[in-house]
Amino acid sequence: MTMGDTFMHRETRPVRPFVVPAILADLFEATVLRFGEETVEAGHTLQWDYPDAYASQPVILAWSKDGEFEGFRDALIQGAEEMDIPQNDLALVVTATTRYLGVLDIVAILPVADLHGTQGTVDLRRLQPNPAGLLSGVRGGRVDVYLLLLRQRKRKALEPWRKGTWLSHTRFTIATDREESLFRPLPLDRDVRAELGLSEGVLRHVVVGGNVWEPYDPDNSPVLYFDADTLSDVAARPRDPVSRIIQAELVCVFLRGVFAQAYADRDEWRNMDWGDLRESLLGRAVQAVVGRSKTAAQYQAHLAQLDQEGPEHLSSECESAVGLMGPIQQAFGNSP
Amino acid sequence: MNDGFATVLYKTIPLQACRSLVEERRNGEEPDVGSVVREKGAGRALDMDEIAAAAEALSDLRKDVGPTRRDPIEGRAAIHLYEAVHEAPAIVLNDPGFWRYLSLGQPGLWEFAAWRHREQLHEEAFMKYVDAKDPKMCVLTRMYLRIRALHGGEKENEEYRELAAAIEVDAADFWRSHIVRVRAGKAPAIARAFARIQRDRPLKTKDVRRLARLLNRIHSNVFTAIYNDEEAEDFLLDLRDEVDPPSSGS
Repeated sequence: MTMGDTFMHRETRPVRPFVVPAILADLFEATVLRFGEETVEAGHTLQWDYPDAYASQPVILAWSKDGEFEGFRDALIQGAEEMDIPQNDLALVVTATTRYLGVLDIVAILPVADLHGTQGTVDLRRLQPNPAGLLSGVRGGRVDVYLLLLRQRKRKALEPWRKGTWLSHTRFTIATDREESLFRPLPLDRDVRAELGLSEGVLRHVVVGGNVWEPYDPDNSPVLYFDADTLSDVAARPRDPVSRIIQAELVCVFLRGVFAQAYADRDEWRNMDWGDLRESLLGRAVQAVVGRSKTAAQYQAHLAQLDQEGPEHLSSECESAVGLMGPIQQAFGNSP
Repeated sequence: MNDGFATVLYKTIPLQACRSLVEERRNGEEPDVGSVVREKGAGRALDMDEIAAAAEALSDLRKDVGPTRRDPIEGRAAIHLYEAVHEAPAIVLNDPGFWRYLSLGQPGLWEFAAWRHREQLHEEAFMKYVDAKDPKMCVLTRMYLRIRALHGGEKENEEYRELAAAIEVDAADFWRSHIVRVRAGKAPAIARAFARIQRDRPLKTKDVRRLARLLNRIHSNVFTAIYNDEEAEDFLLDLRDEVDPPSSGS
């Protein structure tokens, strides 16, 4: 495993119906998960190449950098005071979830009031002997950490009151399968055209295959057929402006194909929330177009627009996402 | 789920082998499953006796059942399946290949999936019910997940036995869209409360969808897996009153 391609950053921030002081919202910024000899930063994914050794790795959650636990605890107490929430009403909750079945176990509930005199680390294997998320090495697991209300409070507008409302959250993912590209480009030649029933002049053709709202399966990724001769030219001269236009266009064609399919199948995913669509082909395509750092509510809004108005807007945005304008301007001799 | 440190030998079927096995089974042939099975792990072999017994129970359950009763039967069958497998190590249960083996290689279980979705048996869409790519669609994994959502791994809690087949109206949609696919499926007390409410005072389809949407919205800010049964019931009843106020009389 090389460190260069070990981590991927993922972050979504839901719109909160109340204001959380930055000191609490960013509470887990320096929290890390030590998995074996690797360290996973908050919001990141560790690519772990040894599924058979997954269940035997020590898993230690460190709330802060070495020697800074007191600062973490002070931030927690200060933030609670700013929000006028008694320490007794707050807890740090740690969960482990399997990536395949999505089975969640609560690994630890640590009342904030009890943090005095404790260490700055939590040995997750010791607290809960059998969380499936830390044992299932086939796909891997996730560890989620929340600062949340442990008790129901008096209901007040624009203030957190419901038990379980979280004030801060982060996630650590240990993936035992690699992320794959969204589609496989395959050469489109005379035989393939005949097999697919396409005319001789067809340059490209997308086969999405599975259901766009289902979890993305790299073993069965969509196929983008592209004229075999042109594909060879692009491969031979990838930095050529025309090649760059073609490459950008191909991604657009693929994404448009996904959005068109998603629109046709909108009854299937309309009632699903972003959390359940994030890992689907549709979810990945939306992230590819609008970026990976949007809130769940923002992604949901894009999906609602797709559902209600059709795929045109997202399809147009593809051109901005892939930077199509740059190589076109360059091809015309203008500065990129 | 049992401790994954225990070494165990278990059977899997690779995704690539699924299609030809399904083709043969569709045509009423008995495929040579052994030629594609891959053994994984090490040590003692996973005890398949309880799974075989569950498969027999599933065969009995589906006898003489009409199309409208299929989901309640799936619920009752899910109890047998869950109780047969839930002690298996986590590494086994979280391996899609193991579920493919059960779906295509374990006598009696293919027949159950084929019966459950018989209208689609000869269509491409049927693959998703047995290939275990999406655990929320594959018949056996979604059955497991239905009970897991209700049971939550809580040893003493057996209410799942009463609730798993208790929904009468739009049951398939209820379990798939409002429990297994969403965060309610990871909050056992919430799943139980929702099922209890829908059993005792069923909402109309549009209202149950509104309640589910409301619940999903709240779930983006609230972690309800820490709720006990009483808290979950109070919470769900409040939401129910929002979508179907008591004065409306429905």
